[in-house]
Amino acid sequence: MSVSVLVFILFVATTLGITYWAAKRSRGATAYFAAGRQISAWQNGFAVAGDFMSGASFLGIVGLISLQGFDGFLFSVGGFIAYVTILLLIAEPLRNAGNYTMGDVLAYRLRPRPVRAIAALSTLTIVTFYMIAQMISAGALVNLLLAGSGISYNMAVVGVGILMMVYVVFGGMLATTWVQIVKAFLLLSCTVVVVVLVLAHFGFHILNFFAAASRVPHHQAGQILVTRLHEAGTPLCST
Amino acid sequence: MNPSLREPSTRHPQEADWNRIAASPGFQHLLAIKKIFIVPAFLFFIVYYLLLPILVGYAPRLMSTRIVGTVTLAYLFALSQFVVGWIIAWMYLKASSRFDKFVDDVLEQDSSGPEGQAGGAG
Repeated sequence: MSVSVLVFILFVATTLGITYWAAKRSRGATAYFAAGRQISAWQNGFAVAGDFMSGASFLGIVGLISLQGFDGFLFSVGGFIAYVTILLLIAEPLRNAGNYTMGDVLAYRLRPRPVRAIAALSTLTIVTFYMIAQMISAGALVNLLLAGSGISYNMAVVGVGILMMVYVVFGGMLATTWVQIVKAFLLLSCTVVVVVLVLAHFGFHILNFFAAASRVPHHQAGQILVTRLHEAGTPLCST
Repeated sequence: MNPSLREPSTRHPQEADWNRIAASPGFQHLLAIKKIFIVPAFLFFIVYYLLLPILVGYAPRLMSTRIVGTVTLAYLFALSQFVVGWIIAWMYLKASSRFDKFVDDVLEQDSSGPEGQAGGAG
């Protein structure tokens, strides 16, 4: 068994262990939806960061930058800005309302039925499109990680989807928060390793790195990436 | 106790509670204090962010000025968005602990009133 398969199995086992632990502890609505309100600000911060560093942003934005250069970078700034808007305008009123969801808060002061219907509709619309991107990247990643183990792309997408549902349905907010914290630390440490390796390649001089990137003609950047991935035997989409 | 861990009240106040607290000078003071920080912070931040796509779109020559090596003004400006975001989050952290203190004051004043602590569990 290769190292990547072992790491993958270890991660799935750890996160399922967290879910089992959380499911045993979780009693009642506050415990399920808000982790008993026992998550500290720092823990929650790392969980939110782990949430943001998902397949769509972590793989998608890196891909966008490599294909589109600055335009891809501009896209990543927008995602970050949204968090500051939430922090300044939404987070505190939401917490003070003592409810669980955005729909709860709106229904508290307005007519509940139409408000909840619209909240559900907008949530489902966003989640559907968001999840498609997440599932494709998760499926492609698992497929790449476990290449040669006979797991097809379609099986990977379904398997990842089932895992996500197990985390949320059985573990509630406590499990999802801790899974995200673990994920945030893993991704942050991997990022540090990758950054150090890339900088080492350019003699620990960030200007050399930018100079090398700017020497790649813009219209060729995407083509180079696709060719390299093709040479490495990476499947780029479902086939 | 850490204020961020405080359990929000789960009892459902009546309309009279809303109106009484909303009219109290403590609550008006809290709202004014919050506005003094949040409105300018948000306006500054949204303008600072929108400058980035607007300048990149309408002043591409200016934004492709090379500042250090091959690093352009656009890259430095985009990177500075993260720094400004962190600074505003840090300022909010400082300000919000002050807001929590005023919230406690409002609740304390209200509960010491004649109708204080009315209403059952929600």
